[in-house]
Amino acid sequence: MKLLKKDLEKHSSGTLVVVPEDPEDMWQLYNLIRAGDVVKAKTERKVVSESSTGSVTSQRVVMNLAIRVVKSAFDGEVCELHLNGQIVEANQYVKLRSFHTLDIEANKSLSIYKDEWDQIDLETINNATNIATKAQVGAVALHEGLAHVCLLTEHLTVVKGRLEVNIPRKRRGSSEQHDKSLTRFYDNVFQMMRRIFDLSVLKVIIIASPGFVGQGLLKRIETNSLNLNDKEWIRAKEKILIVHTSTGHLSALNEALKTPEIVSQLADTQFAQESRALDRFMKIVAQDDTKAWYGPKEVTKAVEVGAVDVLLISDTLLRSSNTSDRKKYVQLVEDARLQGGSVMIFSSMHDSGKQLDHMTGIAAILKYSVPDLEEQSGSEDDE
Amino acid sequence: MSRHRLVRNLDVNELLEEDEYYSDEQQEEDQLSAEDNAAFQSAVQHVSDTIEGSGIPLKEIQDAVYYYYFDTEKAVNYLLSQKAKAEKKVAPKPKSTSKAKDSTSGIVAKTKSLSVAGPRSSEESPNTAKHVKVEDKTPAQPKPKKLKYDIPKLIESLAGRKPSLSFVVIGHVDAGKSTLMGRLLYDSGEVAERTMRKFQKESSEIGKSSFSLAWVMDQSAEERERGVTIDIAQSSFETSKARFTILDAPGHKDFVPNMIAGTSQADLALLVIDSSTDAFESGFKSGGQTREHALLARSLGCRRIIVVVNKLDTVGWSEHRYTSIVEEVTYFLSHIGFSKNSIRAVPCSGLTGENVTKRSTLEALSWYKGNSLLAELDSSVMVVNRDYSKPLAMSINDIFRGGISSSVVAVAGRIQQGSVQPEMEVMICPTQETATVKSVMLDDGDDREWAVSGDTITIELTNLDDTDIKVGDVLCSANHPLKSVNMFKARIVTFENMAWPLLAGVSFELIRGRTNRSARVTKIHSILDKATGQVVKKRPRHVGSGMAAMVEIIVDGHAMPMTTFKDNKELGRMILRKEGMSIAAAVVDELIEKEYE
Repeated sequence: MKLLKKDLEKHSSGTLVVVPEDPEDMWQLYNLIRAGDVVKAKTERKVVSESSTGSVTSQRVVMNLAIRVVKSAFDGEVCELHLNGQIVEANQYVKLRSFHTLDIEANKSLSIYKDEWDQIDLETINNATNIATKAQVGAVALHEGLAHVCLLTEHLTVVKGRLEVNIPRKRRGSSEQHDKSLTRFYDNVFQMMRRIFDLSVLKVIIIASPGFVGQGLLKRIETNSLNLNDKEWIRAKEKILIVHTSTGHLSALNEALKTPEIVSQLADTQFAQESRALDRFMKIVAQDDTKAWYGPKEVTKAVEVGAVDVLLISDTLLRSSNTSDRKKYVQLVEDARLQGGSVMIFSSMHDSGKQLDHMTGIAAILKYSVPDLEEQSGSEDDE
Repeated sequence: MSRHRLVRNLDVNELLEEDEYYSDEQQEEDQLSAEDNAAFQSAVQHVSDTIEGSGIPLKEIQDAVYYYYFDTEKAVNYLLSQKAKAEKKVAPKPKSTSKAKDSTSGIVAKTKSLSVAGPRSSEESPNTAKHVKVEDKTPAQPKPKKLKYDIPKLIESLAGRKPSLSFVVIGHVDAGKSTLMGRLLYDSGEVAERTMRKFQKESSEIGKSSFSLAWVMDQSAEERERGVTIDIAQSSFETSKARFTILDAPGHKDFVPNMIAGTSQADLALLVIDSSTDAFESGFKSGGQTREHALLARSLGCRRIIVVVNKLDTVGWSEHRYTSIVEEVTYFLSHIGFSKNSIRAVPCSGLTGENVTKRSTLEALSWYKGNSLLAELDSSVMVVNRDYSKPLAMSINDIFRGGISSSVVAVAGRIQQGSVQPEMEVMICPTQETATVKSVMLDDGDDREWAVSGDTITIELTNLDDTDIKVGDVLCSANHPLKSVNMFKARIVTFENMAWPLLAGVSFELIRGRTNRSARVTKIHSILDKATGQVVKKRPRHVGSGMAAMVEIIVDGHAMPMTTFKDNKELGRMILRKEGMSIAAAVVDELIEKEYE
């Protein structure tokens, strides 16, 4: 993300002008822009005009519009951001307070005004404008008959292609149908990879699979790229990392990111850190469930007593449309840091973030056991 | 959670209890579902309107409608002819003969003359008949298609036939499972001498001559090259006593889902153990597949197990080695729920063939007084209660192009309930595509053209596009498709030594037969006492190792055809796995029909 103007101070109002460049930036903007902010960007709007004779004509007019955001939506498949809100600056075509949806486009500038910028907003901006953190990794998770071809960036896991086919089982006397359709399956996965992966930007391609499926695919990649004389893919072999996982479901990516091979390659990326942190949390719960807690109330209490070692929080909670909720969580993050705890903000677009979301979105690993954090339960709804 | 549900769930142990089929179906079948009940009421109304004034009591009308499975036309015909008959007789007592028993015998007599479903013995209730009818019924009107075979009648003819038994071969990787099965097939004459010689030649060419017997089972190029079984190999053989279906499971830990698929089709498990020095120990320690496989077999309803102490020749047929292994394994097996008298043990060597099909005469093995493996299998044959009266359900394990014409799709699987025969209309769940059965073939070589619950079969289907059907779909009777849902409530029992706690949101693989889906727990209702099923703790934060719990599970993606454990044990039972480890066994308690986002 390119920064054009940043005139901000913590806890005061200010305006930010940026140019988003890639899907990752769109996601960061989605996390940054909340209801109540004023966003100004170039946009197109259908303008209906009535002539003096009563005939109606409509035309699309390009104009700069500022809206006060009411709601925002992020389309995870194509990575587009849509902001819907009320117009705050009228012009000759549009009236004040009429509604408009801004489709945020890459490489076009927009300005964001907030009444109050908080700590996490400022961090998000720093993060998004830091080029050093832009790693892109290609990943394929597969088992016999099922494959996912994905792109991983700091904050996004985008499933670009999914393939599910029947592979006939081996049968007594002949396994020809099985062997043939398995080869065809590998070939189709490779075609998908060729279409989706841009080898010039990918740092690594992870192939995560159980058994020998990964090796099987690699073999077909080699044979096919030689046959096609595709030099780029012939060289791509160095980038391919085969990782052993238990399945080809999407959760295999999470599993892959914890393996030593990947950790040594991608240790500094956020998604690998997230996976490991969540894994650590789970293991601690299994060993001693008084040292790791989840749920807003429990974690708030843990912060109150100053016991938090690592706070895991999903960006879904921080995006909360309720301003007081957001404030509460930002405060929690800052408090935890003050006590010397570290904070990890999970992206809900990664598998680990999704899992965290499913368990209320907030969790904490404590420095020491705190046995009585649990609510006196039973009072809440039981069904 | 409602109170009566709690009472019903009392027996959590039932989870690992496998009294395969119900002996008493009466009670359940008498209960109609809500839709059925509505259809029933309207049919009764219709019939009584039609024959108004004839003086036939309501009870008889109801019985008739029920018997003809809501086919009003038939019910009317039947009632009128019954009435005519009754009037012919000297003393017509329409009101006092309205006892259910009378109408039952009347129906049986009538059935004979109409030959709707063929004669049947008089102790069979009309309710059983109803379910048989279900299958021949094509959608309401026009007239039901008449099918060739009358299953209830034929089922009796099975009694005179050789029983069939399918067993799964499990154990740690390289225990010699495939080799042992190759030996069993070869020595019982199922593999031609010529084929065997070919395998010997080919395997020694790639320097793996000791694998030649395993090649009987390991057919795919990859398996032979790597010397590892990857997928279930299914085969069959016959002895003078029974027909056997072998399901040779892979031992490698990556292919446990395949092993689960095989085990869910088996009546009996053969646990193969490598007795050579250190091999037993490494396979049996925690994390080895010996334990996991045995536990899975138990959770999936295998009630009997034969411990095969293989490769005993490598330790000089040592009795001491044999006894100590059997002792340790038996202790473990009874700990996980196999009853002592359902465990058998046999020493043998798959590679040399000693004590496999014939009782060994080796001097070194003279201390052993028991049976050979084959004799042990023969003596394990048990009579399985065939649950053929319910509507058809068969989960699909394999799909391939069948025969010569491409318009035929062949599917393979084991029937979980009901029966199937040519020309029957079937429905694929969850897609609800319909198809017609062209032929039915039994995988164990029996020459029947029809099959009932418990049979492992291959069916050819016509009027179906092979893209409309996936492995894991369930083939149902066209009139009684299973419900497909994304959410359900389940009782789970977590295994010991789970590395992760199970908490709401944790995703895992859900495995039922060949179905392998990504799923997660959305809600943990309660922790249950393993012995009594009583709620120990409500709304716990997580479920730890070795606990029983009531949870809500959501399956990602498209809906999954499902029944409760109560309705069908095989279909209502599943295994949860995460990151290569089996974490829990689950049984479906209740389907939740909710829109999945």
